[in-house]
Amino acid sequence: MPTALLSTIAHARSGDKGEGSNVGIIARSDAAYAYLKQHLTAEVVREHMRAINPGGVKRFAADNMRVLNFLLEDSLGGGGSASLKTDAQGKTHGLGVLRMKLDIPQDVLDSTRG
Amino acid sequence: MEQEGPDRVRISGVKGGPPTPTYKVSMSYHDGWKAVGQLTISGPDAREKAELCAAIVWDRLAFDGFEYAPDERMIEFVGANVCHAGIGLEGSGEPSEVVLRMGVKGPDKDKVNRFGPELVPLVTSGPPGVTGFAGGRPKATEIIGYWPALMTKELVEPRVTVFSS
Repeated sequence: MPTALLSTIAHARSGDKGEGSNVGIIARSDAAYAYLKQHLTAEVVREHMRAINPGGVKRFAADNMRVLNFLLEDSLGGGGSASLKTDAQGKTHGLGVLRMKLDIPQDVLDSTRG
Repeated sequence: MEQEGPDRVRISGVKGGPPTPTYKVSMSYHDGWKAVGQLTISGPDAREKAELCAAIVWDRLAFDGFEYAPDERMIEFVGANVCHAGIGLEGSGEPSEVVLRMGVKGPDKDKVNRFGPELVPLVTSGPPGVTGFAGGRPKATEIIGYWPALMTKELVEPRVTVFSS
């Protein structure tokens, strides 16, 4: 099974929510969404983002939009106006998740090439 | 959704719930103080020198008795992997961020102020992953010109006034 970046089968957008950040992972095809729903668990994202988010991760699925939304519960160093970080709003966290390397089946990769 | 005519659609089958007993509010409160400063440090050995500079700042503060807890202090090396530190970019040779710094100047204050509102919208309507806009829209600040010169002493009459309470 080929190893590829998550960004080859999904795109992302993220932003702040209190002291945490929302990361929306948008699958590029139905097959990609089915694969991600099974493999891109809250635990996998928590492990990948551990250096940025010492807190927990919750996952919410929006099947009709092929979106998995991850809430990183403590990723902003206090959040918004209280944070000293350059990225006090978690705007870069989506692209950070997209840097994840995954073993992705060839047919899933092919399904995203339009 | 059905097209009823030119510039007119009918929406049906929309589901909703009863109103909740709460309003969504955004509240602000006093939450302490903060100060952030930055320096640009060139190579060779830019990263190492930046780390040394940061250590000097903390050491001098500690020497005067000012210690800051880990969650009350911050160091970032912008351009040398801040945004995605610790998630697998190390050693790739690719910077994980680039700081875009832009500015304008001139005699017309309104023209200078017109620049500010164009920068911040890139955070929400530009490409994903744009951040670091703390401080809000840049506003026109007055330039105080500096003119080092020589002045004939005869033109200046020294006068000393001593104030006492």
